[in-house]
Amino acid sequence: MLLLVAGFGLALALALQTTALLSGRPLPLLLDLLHGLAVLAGFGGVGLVATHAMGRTSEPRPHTLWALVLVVAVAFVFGILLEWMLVPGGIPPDERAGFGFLKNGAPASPRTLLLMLVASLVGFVVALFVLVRLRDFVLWRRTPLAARFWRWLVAGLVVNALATEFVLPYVAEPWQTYLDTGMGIAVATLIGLNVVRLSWIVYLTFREKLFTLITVLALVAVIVAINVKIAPSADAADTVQRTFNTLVSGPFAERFSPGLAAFTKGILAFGMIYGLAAFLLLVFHLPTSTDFERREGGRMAFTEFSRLIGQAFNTQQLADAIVEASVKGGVADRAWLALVDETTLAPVVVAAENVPVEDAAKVVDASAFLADLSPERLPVQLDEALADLRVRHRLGVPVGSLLAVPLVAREGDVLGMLFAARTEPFGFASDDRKALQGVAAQAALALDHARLFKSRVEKERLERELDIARSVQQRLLPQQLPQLPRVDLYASSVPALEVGGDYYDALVLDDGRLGLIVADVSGKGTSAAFYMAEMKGVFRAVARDTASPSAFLRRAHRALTLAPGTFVSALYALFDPESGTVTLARAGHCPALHVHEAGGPPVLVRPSGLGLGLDHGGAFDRVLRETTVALGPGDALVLYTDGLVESRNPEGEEYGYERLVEAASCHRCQDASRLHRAILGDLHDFLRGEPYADDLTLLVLVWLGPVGHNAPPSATFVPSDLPLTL
Amino acid sequence: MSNFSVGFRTHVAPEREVRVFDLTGELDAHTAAELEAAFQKALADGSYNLLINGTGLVYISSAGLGVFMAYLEDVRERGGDIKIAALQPNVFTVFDLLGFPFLLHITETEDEALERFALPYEPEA
Repeated sequence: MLLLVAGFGLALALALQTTALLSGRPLPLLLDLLHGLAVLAGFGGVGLVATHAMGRTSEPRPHTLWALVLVVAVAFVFGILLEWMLVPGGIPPDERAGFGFLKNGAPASPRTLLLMLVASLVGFVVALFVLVRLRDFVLWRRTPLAARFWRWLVAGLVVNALATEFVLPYVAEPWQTYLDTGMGIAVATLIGLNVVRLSWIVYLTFREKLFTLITVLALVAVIVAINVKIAPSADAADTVQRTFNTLVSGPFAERFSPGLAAFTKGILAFGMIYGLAAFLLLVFHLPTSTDFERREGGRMAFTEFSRLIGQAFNTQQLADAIVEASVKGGVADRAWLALVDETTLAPVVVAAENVPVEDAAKVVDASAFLADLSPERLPVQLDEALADLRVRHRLGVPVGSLLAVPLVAREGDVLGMLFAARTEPFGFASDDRKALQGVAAQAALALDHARLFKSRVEKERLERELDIARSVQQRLLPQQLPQLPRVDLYASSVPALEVGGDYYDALVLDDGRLGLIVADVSGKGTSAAFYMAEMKGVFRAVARDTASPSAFLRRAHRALTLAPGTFVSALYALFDPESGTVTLARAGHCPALHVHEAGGPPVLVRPSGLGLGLDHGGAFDRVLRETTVALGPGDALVLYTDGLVESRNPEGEEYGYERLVEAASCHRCQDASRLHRAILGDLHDFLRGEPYADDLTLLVLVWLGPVGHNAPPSATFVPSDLPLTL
Repeated sequence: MSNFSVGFRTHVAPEREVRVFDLTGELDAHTAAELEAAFQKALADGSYNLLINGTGLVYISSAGLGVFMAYLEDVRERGGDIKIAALQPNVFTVFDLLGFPFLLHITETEDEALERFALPYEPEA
């Protein structure tokens, strides 16, 4: 449709010009206006279609620029050839006005007509191409202001063209000159506003800039050469002038349509000024180009690094990314990362770029750098690294200058240190240090996240383990204590939040004596539950075969397979319900408490003995002693674990032995369950709501005296593992 | 979270060098790793004469005690020893109940322990 209108317009314009040619007179006023409208429709249509066809882009590539330069150059050559075709050898400019036209302004020959059309069309299309392509450059990274200025420029060019075509010829002097000059100033101002948009040049690489410069210079040389060949008398400046004239403001285009010529002229003026500015900027930017490219490369590397560390939860991947970013980011020739090992607390080089990990570990004493860190954890910059004692340079790793940046976690822990080295001394500028600090800060955050993630997974695993351990522990404890005449027995074991390793058990031996054990395995969690199970196995298997507590504990000491650093404290008591005597031996356990029904205060019974598994020489047997205590009727024997005496109140004070003795003394003469309850009640009052950190086991035995003894009524035997809430 | 810390000092006597660890706070299953790390570092540095100063130690759990036992044998095999000094009474009770005084020197003052490094360890009982 648009093309149809354009074709019709062009045909009409050509037809009208033909009538002028045939009649030998310029077009009368009405026909001239019609001709103007036909040109407007024709070229407007061609312009819209061409603009649409040329498309647009948000980010012009260098080849767009080169294409533009080439098209302009070809147009110039075409202009020269066109002029040469008209006047071989050239003619003085002042005589050119009448050439090809009659005195009254009508075209003189069909050739003139053809040239009018060709010159207008070629000039217009080239100008349009320049306009559309320059738009991409001018509007690169556009701001609202830039877009507005651009719209104003295009509108200004169009208004200027329309006014020149339809208004200017019909206005009398001096207004014609005023209007023309005014419009010229307006267009020039708009051009000035748009010429400054040249920032794309900065982003061309060094090679692209160089290539562009060379291309432009080569094309200019070619044009000049062609021109010199054709018109030896003309110099370069004259060539530009005359070519411009031929295509744009020369008689052909101007006679055909002054408005169209004004439009083309405006665009080409803008193109030339913009091109000149771009050329100069290109020249000035050439030397700093490499630096800029390095910065840009660094920025890309850091962006990539940020993206990567957001995804990685694996410490090794993160470490690799950190050293890679440091080198690719252009802030170091080689880099390596030392992370603090969580168990040894010593720094270990985990990743290195441009240097083998083993060499990196040796070339710098990372622990010395960590130890020397300032309280503010500032990076350390060594401009002459070889002069520093912490740098060993005989390894063939070129370390002229060194930057050591600590990785600080959110809680202030130093996770490790990032080392960046340059081959030359004084290789680091302040922006390098800042960039590296940025990398280190991000790295610390990511490593911290990874650590948290790992510890959370670990915690969940531990919690599952603890659940298992807890249920195992509960099943290992006796569900029901043996019942014996004249013996009142009550026991409980409350597991702490974190499962400890408390164990107690009771067994009636073949000779009628009661074997009681209270034990505490060191450590917590699954391993504690495991050792508890082992302890129970040993107790159940060995107690019946051993005549004395010390013999039992010696057997247990040998039987238990404990990891280094793990041990079990245990107390084993053999109680004779006939006589009321207790024989007991203690393997590092809390002393037993003998509570007299009447008479003296409670007594802590503490024969010497080492914990099970503490020593693998002969010390255990050597130290172990056994003691016998005679209970009187109504006397109580209290066995317990350290969870009782070591429980602490909010002030951090331990419950301790004195309070235990005191409480037991106050509540003697009670039956086993009441004494048990009274002691725990006293502890509860002391703790004032503080939870206890360790398992708490408490076993109370009250002897009711020999058969026939008038003792208080026997208490009911309650299952011992009632969960107690304190 | 943790209110435990290990301080390092090195005591250089004419015949031998003793690494002194000042323990502060609570030594339990959570903080035992820190003491373990300190011991490992000492062994890595070739220090086998280790002296624990317990002036600031307010609590010790069985896991904490385990650290001493785990390293004692190792240290003695290399000709060194672990000695413990200046424990608070409640902490000493824990060591005492388990029979630690039968296994290593636990002295009232640091100086006393330093003097004992001159003599080879002999079991008391």
